Parts: sequence; structure tokens; C-alpha cells
Amino acid sequence: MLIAQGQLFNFVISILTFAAVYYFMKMAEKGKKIPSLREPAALSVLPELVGRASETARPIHFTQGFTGLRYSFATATNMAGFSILGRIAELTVQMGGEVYATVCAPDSYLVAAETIHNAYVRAGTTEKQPDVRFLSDSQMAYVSGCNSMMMDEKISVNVMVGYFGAETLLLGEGAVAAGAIGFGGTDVYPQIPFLLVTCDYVLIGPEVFSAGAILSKDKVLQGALVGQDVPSYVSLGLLILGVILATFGSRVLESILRY
Amino acid sequence: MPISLFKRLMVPILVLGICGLLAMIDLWFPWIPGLTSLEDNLVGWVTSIIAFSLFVGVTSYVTRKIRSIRKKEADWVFDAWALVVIVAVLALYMVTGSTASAGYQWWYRVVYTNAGSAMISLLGFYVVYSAYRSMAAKTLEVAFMIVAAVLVFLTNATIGEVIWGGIPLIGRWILDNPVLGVTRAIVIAAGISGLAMGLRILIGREKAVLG
Repeated sequence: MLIAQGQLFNFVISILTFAAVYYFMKMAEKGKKIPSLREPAALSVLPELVGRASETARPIHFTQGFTGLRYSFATATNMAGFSILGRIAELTVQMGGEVYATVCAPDSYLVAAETIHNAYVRAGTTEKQPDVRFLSDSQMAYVSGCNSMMMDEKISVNVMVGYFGAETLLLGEGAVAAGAIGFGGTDVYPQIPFLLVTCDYVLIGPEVFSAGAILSKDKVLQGALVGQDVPSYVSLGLLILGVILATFGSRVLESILRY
Repeated sequence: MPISLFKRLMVPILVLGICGLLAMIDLWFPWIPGLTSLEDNLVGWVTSIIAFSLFVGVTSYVTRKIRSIRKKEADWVFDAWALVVIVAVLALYMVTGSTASAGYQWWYRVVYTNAGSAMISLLGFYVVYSAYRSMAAKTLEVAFMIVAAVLVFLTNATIGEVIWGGIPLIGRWILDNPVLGVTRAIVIAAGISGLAMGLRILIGREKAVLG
């Protein structure tokens, strides 16, 4: 068989996603009309939060939790988090604020520093140095250090977007204790309730991956977001078809998906 | 395009694109000769790069502590103590030559493990406080969430069955139907969004990270 056992559907949906995303990006690039996007409610307040932090002269803290980039299951989510960090760093330059990131994984240190540096350059300054702090690669020691910093420096906003584990609630609650506004986002569904409890604004699941593109106001990136709706609708159709077939006792679709 | 800009933008994108493409092809077409071993090599390189990045992390940590001590920032004494501990543990390893040595194991068992346990115990208070705050039913939605949470809690705590036999049934229904449905929706949508994000990064369109 040409494609590995059990990977056929994976292959088809991946190719479909790539094709749809690429097609709509090209459409946007050529200036053709693409469907408009609904901005997630939590995301629309982000510039306002950065502005508020600048007015009160208190810093913004960014964290991705414990995982970093070393675990393949967390890489995509954390890269999406970095995308948001970049946009926040850009906004801080425009509004005169400060942002610092704390990292638990040393591999994230370099990417976070590069992301902030690039954002500063894009915003037109080469004088500001990125403020990234490696605290510890031990989960609870990292949380403890983070919470201590948030309280000592009286942060204004705590942004926690990435792949989180047991540290979600502890970091979120630390920010509440520091009197900060919480902005969270993750696609790790067991951690979403903890973010909802401790954060004022939360990005849920796919919103995390779209946030950077929406904030950039880049038409081509927004075209990519429109493109990813095509496989979403295909998945929705398959779900409905699967429910109907399963109701009548057929397992044909399940067999096809597992092929 | 100037050479520095080419190096800065195109080289990382090319490396990313080729490595990402190889990983995907290996997933779908593992029968192609030599591809799996090449993919294993790439994973090995990732491990090496991450190990090297630990030096950068430690350098950042030590630099920050030294700056704090020099400027006599608040609680600089603790920063000094952190540096002493780093040097002491490094010296312990270098003298004994192994992390399996009695001296290193003593430090790990007596100091590190206990300090870690103490840290978790202290952070536990955050969990209690958060649970207390989340129980404030300010809206109808929150009230529903609390009722569902209590039912699931009683289902898992087994005492629920003693109170009333229907509690575990309701709790299981909540977990197996609304919770599972919503979870699958999030997982499917996030998976597709992750794929699209991967493509944006691979073709160098996601500029927030790459510049």
C-alpha cells in the first residue's frame, strides 16, 4: 500500500487543509474578496489591555507554562503562543509599555527572545532589548518563581497562552493574587476550565492558533484562517453523516476513517 | 535581497520547510528507503540543540542573579544563595564524577526532593483559594457549572452513590455526553487550526516568530 496503514484519512485531511489554506492565502494576496472573519471576543480587548498596562507603567508578563518546544505535542500550541507574544511586544513599543516573558524550558528562551526582538524591530526600534527570564526547568519551582515575580513587580496583565499542564491554575491564581488582569488561551481541554476560573479573557482551542494572524491585520494570514474553515466544514459534515450512519447501525464511516 | 537578510529570513524558513516536509513524508510514506533513519537523525539533532540551549538558559539565569546582586535589588541575598547552590551542586558533580554517587544522591534525596515537596505544598493553597472563588455563582451559567461540577465530584468521590444512587448515573451522563461532545469539537477544530498554523510557519508566512 502506498500510504502507511491507518494514515489515509490523515493524509487526505492534511492535503485538503494545506490546499484550502494556500488557495485562500493566494486569493487574499491578489486582493480578491474573501469572507470576513469574526474576531474572538477575548482577542479584541488585547490592545486595550496593553494600553492599560502602559498607562499604569506596570509590566505585562507572558508565560507558556512548563512544556516549551521540546515536546512535539506542545510545539504547535506554543508557537501560536509566541505569535501572540510577538504582537503584544509590537503593541508595547507603540504604546510605550513593557513586556517580559518567563520560560521554563531553555529551548523556549531563544525563541521567545527572538520573537520579542523581531517584534521590536517591526515596530521600529532596535534599542530595546528583549526581557526573557529562564527560571527553572522544574515545574513547581518555575511556578513559584513566576508567582513571586508577578507579585514583586506588580504586573498589570498576565498573558498565559500555550500548552499548559498542572501549572495552569497555580500561575493563573498567582496573577490574581498579584492583582493582574488574566489573559489565557490553550487547546489543552482539561486545562481550559482552570483558565476560565483564573483569567478574565480566554481563547479556547482553535482561537489560540488564529489569534496571531487576526492581531496582525495581515490580509494574507487572514486568508489562511478562512481557508482552514474548509476542512472544518468537511469535518462537521462527516460528524453529521457519522451520527446518521451510527444511528442506523452502520460502521462504514468509522472503517473509512481508520483505513 | 542582501545576503544578511537572506540568511536571516530564508535560511531558517528553508531549514524549517525541508525538516517539516521530511517528517510529514515519513509519516505517510515510511516505505521510502532511508527516510525513517533520516527522520530519526533529525529527532537526534533536536535533542542535541535542546541540550545546548540549556547552557543559554543557565547563562541567562546566572547573569540575572549577578545583576541583582550588583545592584543590591530587593532580596538579593537569596539570589546570592542561589548562585552558591548552583556552584556547590556543580562542584559536587565534578568531584564525585557521577550523578549516581553517594554524595550527589544524598543532595538529591535530602535537599532537592524535600524542597520540591515543600514547594508543591505551598502552591496547594492557590488551588484551594481558586476553588473557593470559582464557587461564587454570579450568573446562571456559573450556577449550572457548579451544579455539574458538584455532581461529577460526587460521582468520582464514591460517597455520591451512598447519598443517592442516581448521582453516579447523572455524573457519568454529564461526562459521556456534553463534556465529551464539547471536548471532541475543541480537539478537531484545534487539530485543523494547528495544521494550518504549521503550513503558515513552514512557508514563512507566520512572521511574528521568524521576523
